Amino acid sequence: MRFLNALKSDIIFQFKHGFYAIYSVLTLFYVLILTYIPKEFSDIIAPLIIVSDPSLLGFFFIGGILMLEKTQGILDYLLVSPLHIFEYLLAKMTSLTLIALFSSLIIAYSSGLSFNPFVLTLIIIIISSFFTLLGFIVALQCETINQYFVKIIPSIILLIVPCMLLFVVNDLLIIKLIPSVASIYLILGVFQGIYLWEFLIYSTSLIIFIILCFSYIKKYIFKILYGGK
Amino acid sequence: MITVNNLSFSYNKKQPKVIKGIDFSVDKGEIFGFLGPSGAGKTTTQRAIIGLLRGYEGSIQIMGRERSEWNNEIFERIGVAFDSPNLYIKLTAIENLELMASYYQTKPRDILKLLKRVQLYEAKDKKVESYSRGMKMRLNFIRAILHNPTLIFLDEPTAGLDPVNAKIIKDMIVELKHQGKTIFLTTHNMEVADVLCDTIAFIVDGSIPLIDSPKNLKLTYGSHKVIVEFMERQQITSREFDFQEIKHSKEFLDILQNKEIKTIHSQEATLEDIFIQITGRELS
Repeated sequence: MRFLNALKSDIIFQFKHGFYAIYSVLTLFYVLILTYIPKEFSDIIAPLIIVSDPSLLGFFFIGGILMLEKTQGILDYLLVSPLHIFEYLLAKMTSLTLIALFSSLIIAYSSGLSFNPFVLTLIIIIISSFFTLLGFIVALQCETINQYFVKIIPSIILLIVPCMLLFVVNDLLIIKLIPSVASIYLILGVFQGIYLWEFLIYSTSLIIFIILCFSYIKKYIFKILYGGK
Repeated sequence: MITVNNLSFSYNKKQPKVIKGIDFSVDKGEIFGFLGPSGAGKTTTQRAIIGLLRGYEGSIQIMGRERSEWNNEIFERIGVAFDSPNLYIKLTAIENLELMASYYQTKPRDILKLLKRVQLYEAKDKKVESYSRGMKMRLNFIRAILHNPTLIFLDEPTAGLDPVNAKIIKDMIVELKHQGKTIFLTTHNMEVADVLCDTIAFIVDGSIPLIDSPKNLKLTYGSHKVIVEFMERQQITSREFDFQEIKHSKEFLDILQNKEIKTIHSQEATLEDIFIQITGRELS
């Protein structure tokens, strides 16, 4: 029940701060791109847009949301309410994943490509959850949105460089297990087909990173926010 | 309700302790004031008791159990109003209170009645971002007591309030005490502490040099004298008498019987005077 109330709070909060409006415009922009590009490019452009969608959304929106919550003192208050940190994070992940899902499905359908919507939904949930938690960890250590944009640079480099490496070496499993690369393979798999074992390996890698992020936040949130040993 | 024994805390292993082995206890139904200048350790101690700081040394017993052994359910019974408002600024007062009440299992108190009490009823449907700081502080206060907690932490509850609204909040704090609630009040405003608190702890540089009731402190540390001001040869004149000698003082009795008295004051010290006397520091 508390989780549902936290989810309701998050949806109201995001709506009132214009996050939904921004994302509607962004989705419309993506749809227009996919409508006007030649069909042969859609095969690669649509999955890339979709993979960037939940990741960027999770990563950037959570930064904005947390900064707003910090400046309004909401986070301080929620930490002295019965709401458990797990419920709080789950509500954040769910609210942002819902937007990502809505947007990704619209983009996927407008691309004209064939795909399994249930598999896409599952994959979006996993990818969005990871990037939301990672963005949360970075945002937790920032006081202003400008600080956040500076502090996410190392994380972005760590996630993008392995994607670039795919152009040089694409048969190293260790690179494929990095969340950003695993996300690309999973989304490409939705449209181009993927073996079950591949799906399981990439998903498990992302789920392990999700658990690691969760554990980190649960263990260090009070120390990061308020100091102490 | 709260028993703190030998509490120490440092934000970093390499930094000196900001709380240095303090001891105190707060009884049920008491208003306990934590009085000290900025940076003395008031907020740190309050945060440790609430549970926001991890890794403290010593013991914090709260409602019969060590603080670290409580899970989040303790917050069903605790209300906290920080020194700055914690509110959703894009929501109205009512939306804020309803939303925050939804996190608690306890049925919330009558929201409209509370809003009327702190004179926010007329502005109940306005977004909080349009509120003045005083309005936000009042809303913050009722948000902290909305779930009917038994232990309430208030950090500078009258900061930013005009005298009328400050009085409303002070009256409500006294009412909460009469309802059996325990209140932990953190302030550097000695007038608020004097009027409201049953017990006051002075905190300076992470230590508590003195704990007592405001009345005892004033009696102990005030000078035991009476100053009488009266008219003499068309001028205001004053005389000082020791408490011990007034009943035998012919001069005192003569002034009372034959002069036009302007004022009579016992020379009890203010909490600020005592604070400076004990700690050598000023409150603000």
